[in-house]
Amino acid sequence: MSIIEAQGLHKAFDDGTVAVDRVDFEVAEGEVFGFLGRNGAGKTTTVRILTTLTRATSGQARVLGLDVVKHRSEVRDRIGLSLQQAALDPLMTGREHLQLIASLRRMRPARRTERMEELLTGFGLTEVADRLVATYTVGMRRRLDATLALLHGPQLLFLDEPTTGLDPQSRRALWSFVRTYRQSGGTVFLTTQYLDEADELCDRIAILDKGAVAVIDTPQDLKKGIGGKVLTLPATPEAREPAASVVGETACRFTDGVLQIDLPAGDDVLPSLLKRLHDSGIPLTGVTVTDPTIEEVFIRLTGEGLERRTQSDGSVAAAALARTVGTGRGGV
Amino acid sequence: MSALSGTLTLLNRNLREGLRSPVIAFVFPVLFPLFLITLVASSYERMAFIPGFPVTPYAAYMAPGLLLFTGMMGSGYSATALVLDAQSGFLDRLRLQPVRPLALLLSRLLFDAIRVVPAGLVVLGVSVLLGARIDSGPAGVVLLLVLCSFWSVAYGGVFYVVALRTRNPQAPLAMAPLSVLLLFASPAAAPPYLLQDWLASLTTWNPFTYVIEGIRALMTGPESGTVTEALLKALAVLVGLTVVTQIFVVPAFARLVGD
Ligand SMILES: Nc1ncnc2c1ncn2[C@@H]1O[C@H](COP(=O)(O)OP(=O)(O)OP(=O)(O)O)[C@@H](O)[C@H]1O
Ligand SMILES: [Mg+2]
Repeated sequence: MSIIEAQGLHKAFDDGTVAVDRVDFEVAEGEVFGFLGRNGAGKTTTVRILTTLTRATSGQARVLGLDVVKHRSEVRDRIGLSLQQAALDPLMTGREHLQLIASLRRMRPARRTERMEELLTGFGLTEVADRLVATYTVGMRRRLDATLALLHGPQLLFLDEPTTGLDPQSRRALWSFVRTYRQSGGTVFLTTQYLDEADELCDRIAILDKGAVAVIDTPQDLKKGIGGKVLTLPATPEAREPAASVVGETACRFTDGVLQIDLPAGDDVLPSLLKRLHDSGIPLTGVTVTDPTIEEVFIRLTGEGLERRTQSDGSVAAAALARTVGTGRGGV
Repeated sequence: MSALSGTLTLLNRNLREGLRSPVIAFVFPVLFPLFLITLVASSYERMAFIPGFPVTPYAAYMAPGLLLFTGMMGSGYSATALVLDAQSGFLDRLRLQPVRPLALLLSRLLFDAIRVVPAGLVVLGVSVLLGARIDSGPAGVVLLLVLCSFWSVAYGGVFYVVALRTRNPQAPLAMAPLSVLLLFASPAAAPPYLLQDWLASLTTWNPFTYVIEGIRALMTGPESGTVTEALLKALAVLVGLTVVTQIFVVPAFARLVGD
């Protein structure tokens, strides 16, 4: 059964910005569904429409079989949402946040206490529960946000960029929470700019580009779809030319001291490529060959990698960079 | 019932938050009226010796206006808090809970009514020490505080209109001088016969005037007519002002919460 159905979902803001452009997709019950896209792709707007906070200009969305406009309160009762900017009140403690939501949801006092303790413990917040949120770290805020989304035991959870700004340890903790939640029967709709996160966590991924869905598939098939392996080599810009003469200009990317080369599928050019690089006096230390990551899929579909953002948004770029360096690519 | 329990839950949050950063909501309302009553009342003391001056000592004349001034100090605190909630996304979180949007607004208005009560009591106490009287007795004290709270809500409406229209949490700050204008164009500090003609006629258009006269009637007796008449006039002005401002506030708020 589809737990989320979006048909021709379209949102144009008053100023004419088209944030979501006739989007169609379905999310099956028990799935972790990823919405992947760069800044401004329309991730948050889609989440807001699905969670009844923003009205679509046209198109339809059904969540848990209920129309998000007509059955707004029923939908609100049964979903959990963790917003992108963990919306908390700095002048309230963590526990007071939980109490406020529990009381607005009119949870029975006995169940309330039990559930609160369970969540505070589960998310490692017991010690800071009585401190003002103003003193919380980004990680604590994110975790508190998650407890608030989960308090009433929703069967569908929306997480809008849940790991942005988290350190690697906290990211992994959140990932493991998502897996546990899924195992217990929950469905997760999550947005992310992190390709490795989508790869790691999601059963299916929609890649969103300028408001439109570019592709929806499983991480495995997305990777398969783009063909050959990727060669990565720490090098100077001069290494680009000899490589391009073998595999073509478009298959080579040079960023931040790293040359990435898409190897054509099937056709084994690796020996001749390495020979050519070696003959040109390019040191081959540190060369790795890996399966393509979702990042490559992203680049091919949207014509732009996350690195391009370096100029416009230093912090995000730094996070993306740290991630590229720190994970996945097997010894870059 | 559900709207009521939601309102009370949210009111509880507002009060706790107000007490945690008490300067604007709770300290200003005490500070400025006390400053005025101790400084101005003593330096204008001789005004009460002018022939025909209705009440002596001067502090007794000035007390009603200052009592109401508590309701004007810190106005905009709630409106600002509401816009900040919208900006931070906290309002979205609240919208996802089964609580009527009206409860969100109502809890803010109730906060405005409550926050001036302690200030009102202090100002009343100090006024009495300086020579003010409350002819209507203990029941009058209660009524005085109710009028003061009501004034805080009615006058505060102006700030909500500005905050919700601009969606700028700073905007209510720009409105603060309004209280001084209303104060001067009213019989708060001097009876109309001592004012310039144009100013005296302005006082009849100032809603503040009628609320002051209502309070004055409870403290030192009515300027003219009966206490009940003065109270009814004050009440009519308060209800009128509240209705007029809320006519603008409610739709603007509904747009804010997307209803
Ligand atoms: N209230 C609004 N009014 C006008 N335009 C808006 C509004 N909200 C979002 N937009 C625009 O809609 C587009 C999509 O925004 P959205 O927040 O959905 O992107 P996103 O994928 O969540 O981006 P990010 O990764 O930065 O969170 C952007 O161009 C944004 O500027
Ligand atoms: Mg977003």
